[in-house]
Amino acid sequence: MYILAIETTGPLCSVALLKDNKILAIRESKEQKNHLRDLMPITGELLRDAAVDKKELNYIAVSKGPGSFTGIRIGVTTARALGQVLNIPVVPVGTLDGFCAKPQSTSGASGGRVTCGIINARRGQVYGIVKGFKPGGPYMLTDILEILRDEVLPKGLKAEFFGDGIDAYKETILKDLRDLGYELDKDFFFADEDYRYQDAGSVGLLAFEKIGKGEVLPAAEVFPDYMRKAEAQQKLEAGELPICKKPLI
Amino acid sequence: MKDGKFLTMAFESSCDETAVAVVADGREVLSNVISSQIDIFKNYGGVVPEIAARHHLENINEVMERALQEAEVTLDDIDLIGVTHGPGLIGALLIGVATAKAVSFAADIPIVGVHHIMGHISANFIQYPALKPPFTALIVSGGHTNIADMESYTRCNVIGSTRDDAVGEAYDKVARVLGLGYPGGSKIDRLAKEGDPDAIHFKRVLLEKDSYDFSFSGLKTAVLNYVNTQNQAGREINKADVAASFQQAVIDVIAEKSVSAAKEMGYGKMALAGGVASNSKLRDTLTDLCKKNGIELYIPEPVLCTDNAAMIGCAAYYKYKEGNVCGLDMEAYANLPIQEQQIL
Ligand SMILES: [Zn+2]
Repeated sequence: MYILAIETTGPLCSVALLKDNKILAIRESKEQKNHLRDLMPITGELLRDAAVDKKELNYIAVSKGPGSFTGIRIGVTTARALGQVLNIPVVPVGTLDGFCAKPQSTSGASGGRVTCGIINARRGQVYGIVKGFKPGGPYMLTDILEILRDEVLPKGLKAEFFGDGIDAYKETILKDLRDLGYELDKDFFFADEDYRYQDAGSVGLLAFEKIGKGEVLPAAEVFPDYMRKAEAQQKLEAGELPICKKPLI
Repeated sequence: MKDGKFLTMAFESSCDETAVAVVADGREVLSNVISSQIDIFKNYGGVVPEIAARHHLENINEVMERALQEAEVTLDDIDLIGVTHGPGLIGALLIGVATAKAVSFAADIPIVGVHHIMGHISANFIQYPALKPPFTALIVSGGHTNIADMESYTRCNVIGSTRDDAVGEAYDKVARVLGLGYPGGSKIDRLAKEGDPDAIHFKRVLLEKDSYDFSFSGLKTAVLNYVNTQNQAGREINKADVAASFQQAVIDVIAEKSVSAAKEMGYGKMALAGGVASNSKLRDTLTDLCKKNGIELYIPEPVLCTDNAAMIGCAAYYKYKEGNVCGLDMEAYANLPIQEQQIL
C-alpha cells in the first residue's frame, strides 16, 4: 500500500512516499512560502526517484490545518484534485497531531518529554497542542504556558516545543518559564530547527494509523481545518461590518 | 481528442466565480459551468478575498465534474488544460492553478496559463466563429478598463488603461452611496432606465487629447459630492436621475475614446469584453457610434462576458497552438501585465 503525504501548512512544503508505515522518501521545498510553485514539481521528483508510478498510489494524505491559510489551501486543493483524478481516497490529518507523530516527539516522550506544538496565530495567539494534556485548538499562548506551569512541569516532566510559534514567541516563553525557576535545555526544550516544523513524513505516519481505523474520505469531502473563521465573517456575524449597517434597497 | 476534435478543459477562479469549461477546437463550447458566489458577497457589500478562496476550494471539484459530464467527455479525451494564472485575487487564483496543475500531473495532460484579459477578449472568438485578429478590443469589467490592440490570437498591446478606478469599481462605489447594494453595475444600469441622463451634468474627464487612458475617480467623487450636498440641504435625491446621469458620463467617455482608438488603428473592427460589456446602455451607445464610423462591433452574449472558463479555454488553445506550454512550477500572479503573458 502506497501513501503520498502532503504537508504545506508551514514555512516549507514537503511530500513523502510511504509503503504502509515505512517512509520510503521525503522531498522538501528549498525556498519558504512558495508552495504553489514547488509542490507539484517535488511530488513528481519524489515519485520518479522512488520509481513508483502515480497510478500505483492507494491514498493521498494531507495536512488539513491549522497553519497558514494559503498553505493549507494549496495542500488540500492539490490533495482533492489528485484524489479525484486518480480515483483514490484522501486521508486528512491535523497539523498539530503531526507534531505529536514526529519520531523526535515519540522518542522524546519516552525520555519524559511532553510534546508542545505551537503555530503562530499572531496577536499573542497560537494554534497549539500539549500532548496528553491539552487537545489541539486555538489558544492564547498564555493558556499553553499555564498548562505547562500548573500540570506538566511540577510533575517533573519536561516540555519540548515544536512549530513556528517558537520563532514568534521564544522570548515570551523563556521569560515566563525562567521566572518560575525552570531552565532551558533541562526542564524545557526548543526542538532543533532540523525537525522543528511540520513535515510530510509524520503526516504519512498518522495517515497510516487512520487508514487502519477506516478514517478515509472521498476527495471532494476533504476540507481544511482553519480553526478560525475569516475576519470579515466574524465581523459580519458580530454586526460590525460597516457596509451592512446601511439598509439595502 | 474526441470525434477528431482537440479538447481543452479550462479553469477560472480569479475573483468570485468558480468556473470550469470544455471547449472543442478552441471555439466550440461543449460545457461552460459557472458557480457564482455573488449571493454570499451581497451580504458583505463586495468580494472578500479570504472567503472567496474558501468557497473556490469547496466548489471546484464538483464544478469540474459537472463540466466533464455536460460535455459528455472524460479526462482521457482532454488534450490540454488551461487556467487563469493572473491577474486577480491571489488566494482565489491559486485554487484554480493548484487544481489545474494537480489534474495535469495526475492525468498527464499539458497545461498552459492564461491571462484573464486575454480570456475576456477571446470570448469574441467563441461568439463569432469567423472573427479573426487583428481588431481593437475594449475591456470593461469590475477590475479592468482597457483599450487594446489585439494583433494576433496571442499578442495584445494595451494602449489605454484607467489611471485610478476601474469602471466596475466606480459603479460599485456609486451604487453604495445610493444605497443600491452590491454588485453596482447591473443595479445602476437597471435604475438608470427610469432616470433622465441629462438631469445632472457630471464633468467628463477625457485627460490629454492624444491619450487613450481613463480616469473615473473624479467622476465618482463628483457623484458623492452631489449626493452629500443634496442631503445636507435636505433636498430629496432622485436616485434614478443620479444613476442615469452618472452612467451617461461614464459611457460617453468610454465610447468616445474606444471609437477614436478603433479609427486610428484602422482595422474596422472592435470587440467588447468583460463583465460591464453586458451593460445595455454601453451596448446601445457603442452600436450607434460604431455604425456612424463604419466600424463593425462585436459583443459576446452575457454568459461569455462575465467571468467564465470557456473564454479561458479558447485563449489557452491558441497559446498552445503557438507552441507554448507551462511547467508544473507554474505560479499565480495578482498583477500580471498583459505584455508579459506570452512569456509565462
Ligand atoms: Zn473578469
